Amino acid sequence: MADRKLFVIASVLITIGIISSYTFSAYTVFLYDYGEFHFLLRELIAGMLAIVLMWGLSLLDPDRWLQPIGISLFLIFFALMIAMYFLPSSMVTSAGGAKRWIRMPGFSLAPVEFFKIGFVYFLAWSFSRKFAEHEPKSRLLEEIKMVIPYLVVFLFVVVLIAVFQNDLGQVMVLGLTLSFMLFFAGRSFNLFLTLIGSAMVLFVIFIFLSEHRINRILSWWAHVQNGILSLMPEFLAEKLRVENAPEPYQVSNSLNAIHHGGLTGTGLGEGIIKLGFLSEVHTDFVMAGIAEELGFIGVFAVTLLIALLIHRIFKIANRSPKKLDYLFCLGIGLLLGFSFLINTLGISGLIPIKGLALPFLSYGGSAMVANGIALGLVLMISKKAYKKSPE
Amino acid sequence: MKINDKHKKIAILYLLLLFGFLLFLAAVFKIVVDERKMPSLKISEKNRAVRGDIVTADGFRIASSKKLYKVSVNTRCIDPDKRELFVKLFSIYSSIPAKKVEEILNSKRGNVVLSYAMDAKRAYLLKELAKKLYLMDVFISYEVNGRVIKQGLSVKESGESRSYPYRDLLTPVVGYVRKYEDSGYTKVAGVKGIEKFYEERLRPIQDGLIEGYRDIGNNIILNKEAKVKKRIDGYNVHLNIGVTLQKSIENILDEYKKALRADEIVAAVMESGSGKIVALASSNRYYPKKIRYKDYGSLNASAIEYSFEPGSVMKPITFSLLLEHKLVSPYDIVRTYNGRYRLGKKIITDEHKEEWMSAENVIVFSSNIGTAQLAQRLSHIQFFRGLQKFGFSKKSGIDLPYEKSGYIPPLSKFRSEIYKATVGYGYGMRATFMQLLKAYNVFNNNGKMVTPKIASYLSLPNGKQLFISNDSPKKVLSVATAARMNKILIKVVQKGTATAAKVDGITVGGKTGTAHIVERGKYVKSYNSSFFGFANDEKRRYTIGVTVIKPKKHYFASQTAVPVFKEIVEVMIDNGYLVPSG
Repeated sequence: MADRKLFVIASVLITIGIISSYTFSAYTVFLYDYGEFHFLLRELIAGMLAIVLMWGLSLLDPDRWLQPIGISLFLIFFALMIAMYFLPSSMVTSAGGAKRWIRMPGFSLAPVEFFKIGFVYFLAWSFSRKFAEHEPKSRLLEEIKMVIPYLVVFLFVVVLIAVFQNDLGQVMVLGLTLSFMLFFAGRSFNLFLTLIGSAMVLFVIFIFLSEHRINRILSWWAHVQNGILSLMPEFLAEKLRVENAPEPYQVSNSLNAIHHGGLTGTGLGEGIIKLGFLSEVHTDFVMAGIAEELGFIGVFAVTLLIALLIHRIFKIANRSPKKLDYLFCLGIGLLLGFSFLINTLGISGLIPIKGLALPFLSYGGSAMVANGIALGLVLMISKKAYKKSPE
Repeated sequence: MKINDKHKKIAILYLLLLFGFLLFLAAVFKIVVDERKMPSLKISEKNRAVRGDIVTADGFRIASSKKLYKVSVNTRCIDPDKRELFVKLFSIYSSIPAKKVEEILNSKRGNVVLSYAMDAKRAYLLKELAKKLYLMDVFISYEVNGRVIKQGLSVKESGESRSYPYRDLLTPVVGYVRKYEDSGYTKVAGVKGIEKFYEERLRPIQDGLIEGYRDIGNNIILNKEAKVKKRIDGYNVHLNIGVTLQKSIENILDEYKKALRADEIVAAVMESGSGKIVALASSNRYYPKKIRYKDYGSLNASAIEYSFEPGSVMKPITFSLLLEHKLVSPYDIVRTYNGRYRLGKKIITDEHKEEWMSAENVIVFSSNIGTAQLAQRLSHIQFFRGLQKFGFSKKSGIDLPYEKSGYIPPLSKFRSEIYKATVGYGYGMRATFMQLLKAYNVFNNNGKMVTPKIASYLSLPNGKQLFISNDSPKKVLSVATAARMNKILIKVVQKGTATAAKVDGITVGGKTGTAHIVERGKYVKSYNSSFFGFANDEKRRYTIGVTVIKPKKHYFASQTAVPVFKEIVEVMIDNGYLVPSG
């Protein structure tokens, strides 16, 4: 019996996402003269497909189906992401120089969304085979040697996604997921810290490579400094203070939206900041839109749903006797959790990151269907998860 | 042990995630609770109402208002890379040369006004352009004191402008307006003429207003919180005067003014039954949009603001009072002393000299001597009250401002022989052109007096009409007296002093008057020549007046006012106002 609660929570989130695609696309629809239901219709189809896929996959036997589905997701979409660079530009939709979508008849496909699931499966599958017989207490250097093949694969992925698709957020999510999965696969905490540490260094280097990114960090710091500096000693605070840096336009309006919504919101469909002030409100800034129309209460409810969803997934992971299943579920939970965290901390101005979709809620068919598949696979596994692990 | 370890690790990981979530919720809560400087989300858009039009009987808008718009842009918000595009597109949409636009943009940084007087159509196009420019990302945000500012092309109402497309037509009757500022918006108000008299009605009634939340493109969202007030322009004033007849008469007056070297010629045509003024013209006109110094003398409507000693045109009034009180019969014989008669210290002379005359012929040949003697038969009360009843010394009540009431001597003076005689033939008193026209209309309207009216009704753009009430006709003379007077006036044209007014197939009657003008207490060699009368066909009756002020070439009314009268009757026939019989 698959996990009913998980299915219900996910369906509720998908429904909220579908409604969001209607209310938050109002200005875009008006500005570009789309039909009123342009976004709603597409998101509705994707959402229903996601629910059907969840249900369908949950019926299958994980011992027979998990591997072929997981591996093919990884291989097919890895190949597609590489192929994207060789496809004629008529077949690829690019935004700001980044090629992110392959044009298909009737819709566009973002391979990275599916690839993420495949990548998590690949890691779970590989870790469960390789690390099972190794003792976790080996030396750090040996450990690094051991994980080098994964780092090479990951570096390749970084190049594909961060450089070619200019999508730093996705890389961060994947990197974090990779690090945590390694740790949970039985590698040492030292290795985990080393990886996280070197990722931070790489991240800083990456930022200093472009003035645009430095400015973004600076303006973010200008915005959050008051809260943080007040906790620091005076002499240090003075040195770190940045004066008169502009609040970044989008985040500024995101905060405006949250403030405008207040505790109970303006009411569904009654938002004002969503009308062009806050661009991309139906995609990356959907949570700011929810904050405006449904208020703090709405944001709290959605966050609670996501927390419950991840709780279910982790529970299934915990109860799964097979290491592969356990690692895969954990990976999917992390993927969703980190995406949610990075997005929401970004839109509330706490971290200088933007441009990451919110699972289930942001407009985007590929992400919706991919998440449906991911949860379908988790539901499939949940049938083999028992309340009491056989010992 | 291993299982427990796994369980613990997952729980810690989950708590870590939960901590992140709580951090986010706390941040959201803080943003909600903290004060925050928000962009102004509510705006209101005024759609100002404008002044009503003045419309002629044949549907021409001789005075109308249009709105002007101010177009401005913040130069800091124009993307430097797209500045050229902005200049080019703006130039095309606004018809302002690109060079001029460039000049204005370079004049200073910040908000610059590209035009103060854009018309409504262009303003509409420019609003469309503003949207397109926004879509093309021409505008960028900039930042002052931590506030992010992004402004596009702004098109706002700046004022109202009154236009008179037919230039000097119907002036000075139509009047003119003055401009004034009302919190940065230019409004107009009537100063003279119809513009002034109907000021309360013409004035815009209610500005349209939409107030509510806006999107970033400043479009107001019409949700339940939006407030909408309808724009209601002022009433249109519809005149009884038609452009075609008015213009023809103005042309006649212009011609005669030149030929007679007169100061001014005033003429009017009134529908006898209703009092509708169908033409009211002056030779001295101006273009209300551009009033020059030399127009100052023409700003007043002489027909109501200039009172003068009417002279012989008063004789029929006096005579009708005698008839009404049965103090004379047209066939009485009056001695006229061969054109020279002494009354007290005063010598009275006649142009048409005869020893004896029938009472009727006293009017037909305009005998001062005959009138002076007949007038003595009226008691002072009969005479004074009679003139008052005819409307002398009282405003005619026409719908124009600043009307003069003229003058008649006080009641007690009418005891005097001299006063009776002089007022009897139109001296020692003053009347306006309009008072005389109104009085003469009594003869052509079965003895009833009506108030002359230039405007017929008011209308709103939604089609609602408001009729202008008129006083009910007042009986001044009996039907019999009026009919008798009519006959006498016809005889004046047939056989007397106004034979030049005869028009075939039209019943024409009237009385001439050539009045000496007093300047600084003395009669000088300067005259006001008038002809007041009527022209009727089988169906319609019109009272017509002509006054020539100070003609230099000829001064007798028969050579000045009468030919003008005749030409007016002829253009009335041409324009279908009168249909000759036979």
